[in-house]
Amino acid sequence: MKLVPFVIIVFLSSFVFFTACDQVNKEGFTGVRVIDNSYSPPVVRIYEGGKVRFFNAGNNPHNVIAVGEGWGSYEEIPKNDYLDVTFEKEGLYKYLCSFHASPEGDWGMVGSVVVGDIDYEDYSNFQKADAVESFSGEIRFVPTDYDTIQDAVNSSNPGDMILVSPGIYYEEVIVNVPSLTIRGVDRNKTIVDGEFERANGFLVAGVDGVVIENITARNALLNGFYWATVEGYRGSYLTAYNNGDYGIYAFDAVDGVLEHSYASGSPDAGFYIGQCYPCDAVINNVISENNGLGYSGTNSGGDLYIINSIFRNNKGGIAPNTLDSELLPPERESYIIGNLIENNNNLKAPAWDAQYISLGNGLVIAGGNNNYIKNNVIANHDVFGLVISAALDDNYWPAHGNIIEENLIINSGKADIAVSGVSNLRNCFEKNQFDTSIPPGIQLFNNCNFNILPMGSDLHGLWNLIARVINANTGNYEKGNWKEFDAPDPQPNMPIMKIVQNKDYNFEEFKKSIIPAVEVFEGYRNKLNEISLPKEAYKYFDKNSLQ
Amino acid sequence: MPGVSIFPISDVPFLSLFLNFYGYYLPFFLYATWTSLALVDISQNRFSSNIYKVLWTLIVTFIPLFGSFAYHLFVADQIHVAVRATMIFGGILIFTGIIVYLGYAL
Repeated sequence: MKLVPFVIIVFLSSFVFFTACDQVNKEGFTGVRVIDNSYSPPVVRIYEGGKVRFFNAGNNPHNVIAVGEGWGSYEEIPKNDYLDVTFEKEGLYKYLCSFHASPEGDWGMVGSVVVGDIDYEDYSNFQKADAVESFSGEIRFVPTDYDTIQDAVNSSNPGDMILVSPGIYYEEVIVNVPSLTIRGVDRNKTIVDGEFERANGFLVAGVDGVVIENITARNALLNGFYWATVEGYRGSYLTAYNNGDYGIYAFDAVDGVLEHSYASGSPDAGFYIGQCYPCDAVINNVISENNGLGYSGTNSGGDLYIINSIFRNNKGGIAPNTLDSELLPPERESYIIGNLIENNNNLKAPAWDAQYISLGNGLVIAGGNNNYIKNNVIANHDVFGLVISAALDDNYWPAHGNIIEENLIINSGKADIAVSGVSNLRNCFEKNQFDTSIPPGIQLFNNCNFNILPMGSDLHGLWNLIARVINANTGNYEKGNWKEFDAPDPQPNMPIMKIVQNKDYNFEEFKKSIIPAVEVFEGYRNKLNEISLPKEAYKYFDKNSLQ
Repeated sequence: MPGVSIFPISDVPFLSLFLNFYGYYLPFFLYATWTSLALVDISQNRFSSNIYKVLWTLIVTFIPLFGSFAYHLFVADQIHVAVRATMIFGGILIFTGIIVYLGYAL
């Protein structure tokens, strides 16, 4: 009868473990990175009673003080230190850095905190009505009419086009006019260069409908292309390389498309869509390589499509994830279909600690629910091809209800498919072609038609993760310097611009290609039916029967 | 993509989370207890020949779950029948119950 106390102890200990995990903890915060010389993101939204942590990741002295001095402090935040501010009441809180902005907060290093569910119009400079659906007919030429792209933006009205001739533009373009179309004449020769001094290549903050096309952004301290808190955006034929945080980045932004683009050499993700639900967004036909992550998306989902794209030679491949530090958890309902995800084991790729953790994994669903993963080819990863993992932040986020169908997952180091963590419920696997899984027989026992056995609690992947976290915290791992990657090979130009370069076009045809980003997702729906694998993926089928 | 959000996942009750965890590990516990107690029983059992002792040890060791299941059911006589019945049928019953509950709850 000595068995009984043993069983009781096991029962009780697992209960204690669970209770600890299930507690709702309100210790979360929303992060703002303070750099030289801007706040990123410039607008954050939090719930009433929420906390914002201003982290100084720059080299210069910065502080955070309210416009009107109602809160914050003139005291400077030391480098790699932070200031926490809690906001109890609903409203708009504007702030600035007293070293790098005007005291009224109308220019320079300024930002806003939006607390609670206040109307959009209250915190953007323009009302939604100001986003216009069609081209105004005005084309502003850079550098013929204006010396810099920023000058052209400042002179523009909603619906205008800014056409940028080939050249290297040493500036940060802050777009504050809605429905602009900014386009380079030659994608590979029209370059916005941050010289490792300025924050972003392009920053679109709080204005809707802005389109950026056929242009390159490089050497920015943070992001190549950045849409923050907007409704309606499009990035087409963009190249972003050697940017210090993200390549192409949409945060708290809905109704958008990122397509035919390329990102490399970013220590965080090449492509990122985060904090939106429903996102109504599409990433189509992009290439992401030599980044910390190919794609990352925190707390995003709901009609979010990642299709027809290539994610290769990053530290980790694709990682939709859930975190308490940003709004709208959990990550959910992303549709990842028809992508090639290969060789994401790149020790030479740049990375922050959080990206290093995913080294050697193809597709990581960290605490995401109801994602749909279909027809992808995931090959040659040192750890897991596809891993469904719970996420532990302030809360414990199990990964539930993910559907994994008809993927080819081969040649992985530890397992092609893994489910990891405690109590990941109802993930199902159907018609995938793969060799190994942890726990074994996952597709047999957790088939989408026959899914009764509880198999979502294997801890193997968790041990692997813990080892990586420890390694990351020591900072003692191999990574490349994001400033030092080679320029990518020339990327294809926008078809209409190819014709324009050959001077063989009529103007009416050209005008038709200028479409402000309004109701982008609805207009894109028909293309979601034309999903096909990148042709580079077909080499993996030669050795396999799957078609 | 239609038909994706087919599982009512957002508010999973604590009991489901717990039983999912417990249910995954229960077969491992059962394997450990059945096997070890079968080996204890074999060591004390007075077989007519030592060859049976060796044979059953091999069966229990190398045929997981089913070997010790058969031993407890048909051969064991040192451990009280109530303990064996609880261990074998109780274990199976609890595991079945968990699966039925999870199937019903989700």
